[in-house]
Amino acid sequence: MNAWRVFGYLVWKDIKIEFRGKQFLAASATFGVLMLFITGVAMDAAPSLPVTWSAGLLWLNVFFTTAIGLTRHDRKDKEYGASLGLRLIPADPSVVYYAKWVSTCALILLAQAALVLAFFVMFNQHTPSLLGMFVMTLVGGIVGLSGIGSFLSAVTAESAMRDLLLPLLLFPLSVPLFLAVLKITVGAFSAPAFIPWVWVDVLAGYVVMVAVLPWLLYEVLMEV
Amino acid sequence: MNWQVKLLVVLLAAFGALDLYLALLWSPPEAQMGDLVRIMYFHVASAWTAMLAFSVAFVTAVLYVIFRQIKWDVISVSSVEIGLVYTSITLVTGMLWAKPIWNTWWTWDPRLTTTLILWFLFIGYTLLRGTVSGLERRALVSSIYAIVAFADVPVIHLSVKLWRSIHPDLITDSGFQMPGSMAFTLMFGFVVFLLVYVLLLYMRAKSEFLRLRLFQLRQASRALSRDERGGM
Repeated sequence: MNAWRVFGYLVWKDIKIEFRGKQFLAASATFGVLMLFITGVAMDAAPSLPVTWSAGLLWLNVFFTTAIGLTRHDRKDKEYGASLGLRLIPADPSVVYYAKWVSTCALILLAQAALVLAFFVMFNQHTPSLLGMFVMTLVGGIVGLSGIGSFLSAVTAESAMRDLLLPLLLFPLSVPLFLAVLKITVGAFSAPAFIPWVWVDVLAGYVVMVAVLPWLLYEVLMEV
Repeated sequence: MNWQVKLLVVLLAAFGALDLYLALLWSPPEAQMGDLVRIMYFHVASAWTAMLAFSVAFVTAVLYVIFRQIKWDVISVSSVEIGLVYTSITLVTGMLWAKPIWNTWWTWDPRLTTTLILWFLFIGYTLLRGTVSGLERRALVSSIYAIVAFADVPVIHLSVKLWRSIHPDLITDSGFQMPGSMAFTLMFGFVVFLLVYVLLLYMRAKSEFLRLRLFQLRQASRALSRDERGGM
C-alpha cells in the first residue's frame, strides 16, 4: 500500500469518526462564539473597535479555540486501540502526522467558520477590503497552527498534564505565526488596504517549518 | 565535592569578586546613563551565557536522538535548568535597567520579548519532562521538544524584530560600541558567568547521574526481591 493511500485512509477515518457524533465541531464552534462574546463584553461592548484591536481579538479566540481541540484524535485513537495500529502502518510514520494535520485542519476550519461569522456580527466589522487575502490568512494561520498543534499533541501524548501543557507549549512556539496573521489581517481590513509582504513571507516560512520538522522527528516520536 | 571542584569554587569566588570590582568600581560611568550602565555587565553576560546554555541543550538533545545515550539527555536537562536561571537573571536585570532608562519596567522590544518567550519555551520543557514517566520515553520526548523549541527561536526573534525594535546594539560590524575599559569589563564578566555555568553544569549533571544510578539500584533491588519471593 503506498503512502498516499495510507494518508487518504487516515484522513478519511478521522473525518468519518468526527461526523458520526459531531461533538468536536459543535463544542468547538460554540466555544469559539462564546469566547468572542466574552471578549466583546470585556471590551465594554464597544460598538466599534480599531482594526488592530479587533484583528487581535479574532486571532486570540482562534488560537484558544484551536488549542482545546488538538488532543481529540489521540484520545479517540487510544480509546479504540487504534494507536497501536498506527504504529504498524505499512508506510513512513510521518504519514500519520500529515494525516492528523490535514484532518485536524479541515475540522478546525469548519468550526472556526462560526467564530468568524460571529466576529463580523458582534464586532460590527465591515467586509475586508482584501477579502481574498483575509480568507487566505485565515486558512494559512489555521494550517500553521494545526500543524504545530498536531506535532505538540504527539509530543505531550504521554504527559500526565497534557491538557494544560499543550497550550503552554503551543503559544510560545506559535508567536511568529500569531504576529504574521495579525499583521496581514490588519492590512486586509485597513482603508486603504495593504499587503505586508514581509509578514506573508513569515507566515509561509512558518508553515514550511511546521511541514518539514515533524517529517524529520515524528518517526522518532512514535517509538515511545 | 572533590578537591578539584572545591579549588574551582574558590577560584571562581575570587574571579567573581574581581568581576564585581571591575563592574562596580573600576569601569567608567557612561556619558548618558551614568552608573546605570553597570547593570549591563550582569545583564549582557547572563543573556549570552543563557543562549550558550540553550545551545548546549539543543546540541546534546540532537546527540541523544541520534545515539540514545542517557548522558546526552542528562547534560541537556542540566543545561536547560541552568539556562533558565540565567534567563531569569537577564529578564530581571533588563527590567531594572529599563525602568530608569526607558521609563517602563517592560517594553515590547524584540530581545526582551524573545527572551521571555525563550523562558516560557524552556519552562515548558521542564514541565513536560516532569510529567512524562519512563526514563527513555522522558529523555526522547524532551529531546525532541528541545530541538523544536530551539529551532523556533531564530524565527521568533526575526518576527519580533520585524514587529518593533528599540534595543541598542552593543556589538556591530565595526566592533564594540563602547570604550575599551567597558568592553574589557563586559568580556571579563562573561568569562566569569561562563565558568560558573560550566561548574554548575558539572555539578548538576553529576547529581543527575547519581540520581539515575540510585533509581537503577532501586529497580534492581525490587527485581531481586520479586525473584526471591517467587523462588520460595
